[in-house]
Amino acid sequence: MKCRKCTESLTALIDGELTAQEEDAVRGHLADCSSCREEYETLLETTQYVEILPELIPRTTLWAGIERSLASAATMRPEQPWLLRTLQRRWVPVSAAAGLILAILAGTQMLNDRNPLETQYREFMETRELLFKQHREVLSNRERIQQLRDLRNPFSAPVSLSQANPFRE
Amino acid sequence: MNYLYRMTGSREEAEDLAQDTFILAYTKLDTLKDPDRFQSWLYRIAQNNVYQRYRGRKPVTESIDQADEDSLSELQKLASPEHGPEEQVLSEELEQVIQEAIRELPEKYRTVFVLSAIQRLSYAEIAEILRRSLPAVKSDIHRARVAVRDKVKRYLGVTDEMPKVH
Repeated sequence: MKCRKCTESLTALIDGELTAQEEDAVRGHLADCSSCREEYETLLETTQYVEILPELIPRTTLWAGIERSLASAATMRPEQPWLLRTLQRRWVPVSAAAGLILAILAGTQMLNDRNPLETQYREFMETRELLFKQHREVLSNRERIQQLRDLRNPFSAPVSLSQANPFRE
Repeated sequence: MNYLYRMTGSREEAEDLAQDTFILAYTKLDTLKDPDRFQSWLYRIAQNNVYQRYRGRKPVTESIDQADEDSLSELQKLASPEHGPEEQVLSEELEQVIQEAIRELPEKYRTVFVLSAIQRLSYAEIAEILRRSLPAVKSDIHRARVAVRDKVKRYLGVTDEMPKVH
């Protein structure tokens, strides 16, 4: 492994984001290269300083404020569309209102035309999410099966077929 | 909340943004398709709020002296000398150096730095929040970490006091 490749992987090594194979390669290089080792140590030290920065505890009044805002957001009347607000104004001539209504009807028709596409897109996204979820479950099950395979029974005595029978003459 | 604090460097700003984030999350809850991804979704809203507020300019780091007594109580308790180095407490000065180094990072580096080094999220989670590729996130995290390391190293090089992490 070259120094450049090694240094690029040092942060990922500290964060535990390398595969076992990558980690072996980087650690192998670190054992032989003092320059990369120094780079690793200073990065590790900085990460440790950052990790122990004190966590800011929110003030107790914060959540009360959020709750108040959420309550008012829940009861707040949804804002009316611009066209509706405009139509409610008394000074708008009736002819303009009629024109706008026609425009709205035309717009609604256009939206209706687009609906099948939107529905198809939503269905596609939902199916994709479902497939991803199933894929993750399969991967997770594979890991579990591998863990079970790797599991050794600590109570089983080692059996050696080559061992001689002490009771046999 | 801690994420917003480290992104902005100010308790007031962080609380304000936290409030905006929760309200926006509440009103947009119907857009959350997968409840398992709530955390990523909430982080994304928070991140968008930070971006909207600063839009390219750097946040102003609030010095310890500027914060009110109430805001400081927890930090001071943690940073007080009686805790000693055995409790892994940083000196206030070093904490300021680190916070300043974070603040000086360009926004995309600051975000990945806070999410990885402080919030301890996995690279995959960060990639999901930022909707970026894993290699790009990995590369940015490393660059950000090196930049902060250089600042900390410079500080430790000029000061006699070298706090050790046990």
